[in-house]
Amino acid sequence: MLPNFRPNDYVLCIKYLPIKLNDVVIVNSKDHGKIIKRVRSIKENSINIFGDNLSYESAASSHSYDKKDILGKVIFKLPL
Amino acid sequence: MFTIEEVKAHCDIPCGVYDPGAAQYAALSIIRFMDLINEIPDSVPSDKDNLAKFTRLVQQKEEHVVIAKNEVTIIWGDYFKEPQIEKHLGVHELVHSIMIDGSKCKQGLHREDALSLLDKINQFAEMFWATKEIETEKKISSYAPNLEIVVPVLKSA
Repeated sequence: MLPNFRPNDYVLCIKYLPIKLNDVVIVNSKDHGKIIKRVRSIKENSINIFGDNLSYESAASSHSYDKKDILGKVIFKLPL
Repeated sequence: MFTIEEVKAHCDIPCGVYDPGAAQYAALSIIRFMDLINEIPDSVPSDKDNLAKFTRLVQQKEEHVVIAKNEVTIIWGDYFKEPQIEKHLGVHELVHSIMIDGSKCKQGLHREDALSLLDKINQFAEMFWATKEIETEKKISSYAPNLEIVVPVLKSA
């Protein structure tokens, strides 16, 4: 998620907030665990996500996630 | 109280590097090898020099079919995922068709099979670049067999 999020940054994530395009969210991926990504598209029951670091593509970004897998929306970052 | 949990950004390194150009180069090479083989007189294998040349060209043709098939299957298998497939539903059929054309090129010396292979790999290249929203154009290869290839329109440095 460089350059916006760096290793060991702290983020505050709120579960009960509406999700919009380009929001940063934390998703529970069955393949990759808890991951932080940005919302690329929203469908009725699913979302697609991508990373801010466009130099690399992530397998985690290559499929849709059920909305119930969204753990919350990131609203605050404390850089270290 | 609340707990602090670790989350990851998860990047595969360096999976962003895919380019169908290698498959197109291999397909052009296959056509060139077929042309060179078909230029050898039918008297082969009575001439040892021609026999050596013939053997080498056939070997290279075989190797470049394998390269073309590998390059396409890697992009298809590793890069194309649900979002890309949703936009290009024909990709599975196209890749399978490329595999069949590749096999035909290994089995024989029919130029039309290699032309069909190049045409389909060009379609695959067009599809690939479209998934990245990169514009493409058709250019003539600068080396024999001087045939049309689909290439991305690259930005100036």
